[in-house]
Order: sequence, then structure tokens, then C-alpha cells
Amino acid sequence: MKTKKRKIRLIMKEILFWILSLIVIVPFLIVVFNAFKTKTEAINMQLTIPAEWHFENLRTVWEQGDILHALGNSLIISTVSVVVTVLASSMCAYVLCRNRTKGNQFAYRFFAMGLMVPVSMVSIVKVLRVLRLYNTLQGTILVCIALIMPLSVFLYYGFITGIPKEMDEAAVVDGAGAMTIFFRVIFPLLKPATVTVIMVNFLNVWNDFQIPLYTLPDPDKAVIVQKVYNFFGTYTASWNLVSVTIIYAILPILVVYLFGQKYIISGMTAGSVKG
Amino acid sequence: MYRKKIYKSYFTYPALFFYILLFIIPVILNFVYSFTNWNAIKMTGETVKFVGLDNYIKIFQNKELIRVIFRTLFFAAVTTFFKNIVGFLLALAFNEGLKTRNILRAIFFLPAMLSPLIIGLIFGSVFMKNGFANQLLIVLGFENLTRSWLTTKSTALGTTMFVEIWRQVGYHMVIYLAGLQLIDKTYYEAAAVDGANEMQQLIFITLPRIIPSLIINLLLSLSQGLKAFDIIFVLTGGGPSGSTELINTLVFREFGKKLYGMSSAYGVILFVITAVAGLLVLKLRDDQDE
Repeated sequence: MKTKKRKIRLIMKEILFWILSLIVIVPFLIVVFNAFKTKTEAINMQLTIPAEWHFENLRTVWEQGDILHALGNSLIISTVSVVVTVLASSMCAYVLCRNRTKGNQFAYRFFAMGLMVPVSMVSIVKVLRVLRLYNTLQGTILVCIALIMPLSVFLYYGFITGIPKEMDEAAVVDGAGAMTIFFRVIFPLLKPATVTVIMVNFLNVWNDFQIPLYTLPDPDKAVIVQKVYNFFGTYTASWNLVSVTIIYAILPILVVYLFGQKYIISGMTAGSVKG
Repeated sequence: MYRKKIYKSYFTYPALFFYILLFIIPVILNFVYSFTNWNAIKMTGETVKFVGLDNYIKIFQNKELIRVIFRTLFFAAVTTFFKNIVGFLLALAFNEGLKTRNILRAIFFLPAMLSPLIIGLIFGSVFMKNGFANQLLIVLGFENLTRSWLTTKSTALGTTMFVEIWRQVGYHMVIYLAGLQLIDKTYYEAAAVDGANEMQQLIFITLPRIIPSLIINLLLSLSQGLKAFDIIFVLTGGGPSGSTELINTLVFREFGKKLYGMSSAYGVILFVITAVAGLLVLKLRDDQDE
């Protein structure tokens, strides 16, 4: 009798939370439905199924918006900055964690500071101008690397703490340089942390709007998030087409999310639980 | 002796190089520029002159600008409060019991994966005059409550806060979930044997043990709230008549006007506020540890 009552309560709870989840789901449904409507039908972004599914909207936006180019820019910036950051931060965290001299301890705190405080975009632009990298993909990549470095060092540091030091001793091979030892033996051990660092940073860079807004004003070099915003500015009343750009920008993320949910979540919580 | 052989200092150089070049140097430059009138308003070119505290005096003598600072604090406080309360309640609900809890977790976490700018765009449509929010109100019979949420002065800020909370609740939920899963189940079993009800278990077992997660969540949500930019930028652009202007949107506005010195001064103020908030929360943690 009691278990039956509990069961019913549990089912009620389940239904309640599914209803609650509509708050998250509905906005996305609105976007998907309206992406396939005509301009007039989509004018108020109603939550209704299109009278007729206009799949040609996908093509219109793809061509007019030069979406491929923007996706390419996003992909280049995200990939290059993540690869460089993975290499630099893993090496750095490894030495900071293993060889805790005063200087290294200071360096670690120096990185940790970057987790909280805001960046100074105005001065970043100035530095890029001096380096003649303003309004270039390379410059934006450098900025992204600098801004995701603290979290990456932090995540690797936490992970390396959990690996026994004896590993290092065993790894020393006569005649091999430090670099060889690190990348042959140590780096493969860090794989779980590497997956997390890749996922989290890739998402952060891909989704960022503030950095390209300041450092990459040239519309030809726009990343996908900027493209969505510019498209919105040009086609303000065409919510159907704006919705399509949103879908193009979100889709790659959804794919990453579906395959890497576990790593993303563990990455976002790993650093935090250890405090 | 392997120590010297593999823990090479130069391993840290590339990371330090990038970090110092485009994070630390700009932060320092920002402090310097905030004491200058650096601008490019004249066609003839840029001027930089040391003006001491002039920018700060200008800011703190202008009531509207002081209001922006307090609004930023208010925005951060309100969003932090709701992100944590709702995030914690969701974590409690999805910790165990529910059969579909894994799917529900994934759904609520999804917005945290997406670009704030894009979320802002979506909600810009939801809250426009004839948008979904008002359509829903009409269907539910609250026609008199409909308004254009983002261009009415009294509702604009609240609406942007709602969107910011909506976007991040899942993120904080996940961190609380990780914390809840670290709590040893035997505590609850023992408490149940002693006859403690669910409410008592929550207060005496769960809450004290969730404090590390609470602190990290406070740190993250405060810093996110203080640094908020994309959401405001796309939803209201700071309007109507400045009622949603925050420090970070003002930094960009002054930058757009080519008043770089002034822009830097706002940047410094934001830096100081964020640093102080961070240190306060960390102090809270240290007190906790004692």
C-alpha cells in the first residue's frame, strides 16, 4: 500500500518536471518551427507548426549568409587555439604541479587569478594593434589562447595531482630529452583531462561573441556567432531566416554535446569540486 | 635525480608567454590608460595625455554612472540568488528517484552549452511585443499583463535577468549534483533509522555538506553576473533610456565612441569589484574551513 503511494508520487513528480522542462524546450521549438515558415508566417515567432515546411530557407541562408565561410572561421579559431592551449597548458601544469618551488607556486596562483577577473578588451585591442594582428584570425586566436589558459592549467593541475609520482621516475629513459619523455609517456596518461580541456575550451571559444566583437570587426572574417548577429541586424524582420542562422550556429554544438556530454559535465565540475 | 631531468622550467614558458602577453599586460595597461584621456575622437589622430584621476572623478560625480555600477551589483546579486536556489532545487530533484533524471539533466544543462548571444536573440523574439511570452499570457487569459517586455522601462532589467538565470541554472545544477553525489549515503540511512524526516535530513545532512559546491557556485555566478555583456548587448543594448546599462556594456559603448581612457576606467572599476567579490567569497570559504 505504502509503496504504491510512493510510486504514484514519483510518477507525479516526473510529470511535473517534464512540464517544467518545457521552459527550456519551448524556445528551441519556436526556433525550429519558424525556421521553415515564410517571412509573414514567422513574423511573431509563434509556437505553431509551419503551414508548409519551407526547407529552401536552409539553402537561402546558406548561400546569402555565406555560412560555410563563417563556420570555417569559427572552426579555425576554435581548433587552433584549443590545440595550442592543450599543449602549452599540459606541459606547464605538469611542471607547476610536480616541482613545487616557490616560483612555481606563485605562477600557479598567478594563473588562478585569471579564472575570476574580467579581461580588458580595450587594451587587448591596443596590444594587437602594436603586434599588427588586429582584425586578423591569428590575433583573435592569440587572444583566445590567453583567455582559456587559466582554466586549462587549473584543470590539468587538478588531474595531475591524482597521478602517482612514481610514474615519472619510471618514465625516465636514458638518453631521451624531457620533451620526448613528456609527450611519449606522461601526456597519454593525461587523456581524460585532455578530453575535458578540449571540450570545455572548444565550446567557450566557439560560443564567444565578445572577443571577435572587439578584435575582428571585418565582416568577411566574422565567426558564426557574429554572423548570426549581423544577419539579425540586416534581416531584422525576417525571423524565419534568422532562425535558420541560429540553427546553423547551434547544430555543431549539439553534435559535440551528444557525443561528449559526459566529458563536458565532468570538466565543468572537476575543477569546482576540488575547490 | 629524475627531478632535474624532466621537470624543466621551460615547460612553463609557452603558457606563461600567451597568458602574460594578452591577459596580464592588457590588464596592467588598462590601469594605466584609465589615468589618461586616450581617445581618437578627432580626425587628426589619437591623443594620449595623463589626466590623473579625472576619469574616475567624472564617473563618481555623475549620478547616472553611479547608478550603472549599482545596477551591475544588483544584476549580479539577483541572478546569483536565483541561479543558486533553482539550481540547487533541480539538483535535489534529479539526484535520485526519477526514472528519466538523466534526460532531464541533459535538457536543463543544454542552455549552458550555447552562446549567450544566440540565447539572447531567441529571447529577444520571445519577449517582443507580439512574441511568445505575450501570446502565452493571452491564451491563459492575462491579456492585461501583456507588454513589450524589453522596451518598457519597468520590466526590461527583470527580463534580462530572467534570461541570464534561464541560461545558467543548468550549469549550477550540475555542480550541485556533483556535490550531492559526494555525500556518503550511510548518513541518510542512519538518520532514517533515527526517525529523521526528509526535511530534517535536508537541513542537518545535506546542507552542511553542500557548502563547498555552494562556494564555487557563488564564485562562478557572481563573476558571470558582474561581467554580463552578451545578453544585455543583444536583448536591450542597454536601453530603454539606459535602464539596463551595465558596466561591461558601458565599456563597449565608450570604446565605440573612441573614448578609450574612459572605457578603461570602467574596466578598472569592474576589475576591482570582481576581485573584491571573489576575495570575499574565498574568505567565506576559509572561515568555513576553520
